[in-house]
Amino acid sequence: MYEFNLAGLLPYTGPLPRAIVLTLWLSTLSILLSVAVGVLGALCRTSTSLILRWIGGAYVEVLRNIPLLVVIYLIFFGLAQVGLRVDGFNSALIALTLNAGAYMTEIFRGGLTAIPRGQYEAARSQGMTGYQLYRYVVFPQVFRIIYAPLGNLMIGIVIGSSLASVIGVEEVTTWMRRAGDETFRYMESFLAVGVIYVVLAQTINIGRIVTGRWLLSRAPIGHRR
Amino acid sequence: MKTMRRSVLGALAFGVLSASLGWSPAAEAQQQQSVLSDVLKRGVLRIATIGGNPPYSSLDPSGKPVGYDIDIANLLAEQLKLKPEFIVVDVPGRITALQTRRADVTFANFTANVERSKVIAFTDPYVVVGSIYMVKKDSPIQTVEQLNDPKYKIGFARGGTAEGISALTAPKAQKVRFDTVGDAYLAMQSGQVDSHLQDSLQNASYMAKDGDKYRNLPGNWSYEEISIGLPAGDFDWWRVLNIFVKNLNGSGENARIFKKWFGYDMPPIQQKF
Repeated sequence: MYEFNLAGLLPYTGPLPRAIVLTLWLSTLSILLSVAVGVLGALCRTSTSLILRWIGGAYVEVLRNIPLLVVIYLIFFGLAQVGLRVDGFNSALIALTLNAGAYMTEIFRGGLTAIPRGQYEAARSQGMTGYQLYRYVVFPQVFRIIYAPLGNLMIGIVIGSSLASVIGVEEVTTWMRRAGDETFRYMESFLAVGVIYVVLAQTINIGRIVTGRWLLSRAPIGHRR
Repeated sequence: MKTMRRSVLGALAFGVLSASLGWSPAAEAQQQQSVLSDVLKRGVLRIATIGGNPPYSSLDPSGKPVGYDIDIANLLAEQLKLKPEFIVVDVPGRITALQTRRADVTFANFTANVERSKVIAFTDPYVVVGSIYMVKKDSPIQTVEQLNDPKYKIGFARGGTAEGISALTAPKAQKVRFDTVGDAYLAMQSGQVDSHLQDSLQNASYMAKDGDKYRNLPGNWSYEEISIGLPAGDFDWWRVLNIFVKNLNGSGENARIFKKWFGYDMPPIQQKF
């Protein structure tokens, strides 16, 4: 019978804080970059230009339909074969950003299409520039709409970052496997890391809620100040 | 009658109590039952192996495991008159599969060492290997001393003996851990790591295939007895497996299977000190 003994992991907790920081850093960077990609993608997808709409659509359909693991392999091994050497961390960052960016695009596009056309026309007729239109009318409303689905995706990114372990990035999943290998307490390491991911994903989620509240309080719709 | 009813009630109460505590004499007896009687009853031998580790074991296009380890495992199943069932695990999964009793034996280029023997058991070896650092032919690295530098990366499969060997022989170099030996080899091929620390026999077959692109750094850095892994504390099962290994080695069958997969004569299984 397998004897469960969580204390068996204790001698191996030394490298854990670094691994946690790396997972958080990789996830946070991926979230920020994929938001940027998502905004750009959504603007492309809702653009009046056919070419931009086509580029946005192709990006979403291709990246959303390739498993993240395959994207990681393609960037880490594939690009290196043709001479472009991206290290493990950056390969994972690019892959996570490209993958999550496709979902972000769809979330932002959903938000954008929810704004009635009449509002664009009304803003234009008030003499607003394109920047003012998006800054004061469209985005504050879009933000409220996408706020919740964004949370799901952010948690997805934290969890997806575990795949970086396959190309040797020393994050939490890599720690889990090494701790298991060294102590032979595999079940304990799986369980410990399960709990760590719950905490990490919730940390990111709480970060989203706090930033969201702050932004919403600063950017009320219209001139209700 | 009355006493009998009381004893029945007592037995029932005892049964309920022990069941609720997760303990019963029957369960305890079962725990101590040998894998041997389990597999004979089941008619199926569950064999844990790893993928992506040619020529020891890898998956053919249809997903079936093939290789040197697989042929030997099939031979064992044949001699025991059991149906072989392969469970493909990753490198550390070789130990977990035995610990959790998902597998009865492990045939997976599996080095017997003291560390692992604390949690699982091994038979005598059926082949003995070493460890070699491989680099690209045009690499500036000539020796392992040069490789021992923070600017160089060493790739290997996680959960194997390469972890400890690299820590001893090149402690300063960066270590990059992959899921399979194949991934680590690919990483060296594509230049993501500077050197691949690999099994010496596997190295020989890689060199036979791609010798024009790679070379080895001088030195053999380990002595590893590749053995059959089994759950710890099961003398009966170990006894059967060890007889199998001794006959396999003595009969020349091992050497024949080895030549089939590695393409050259098997090195002698003997301790050289």
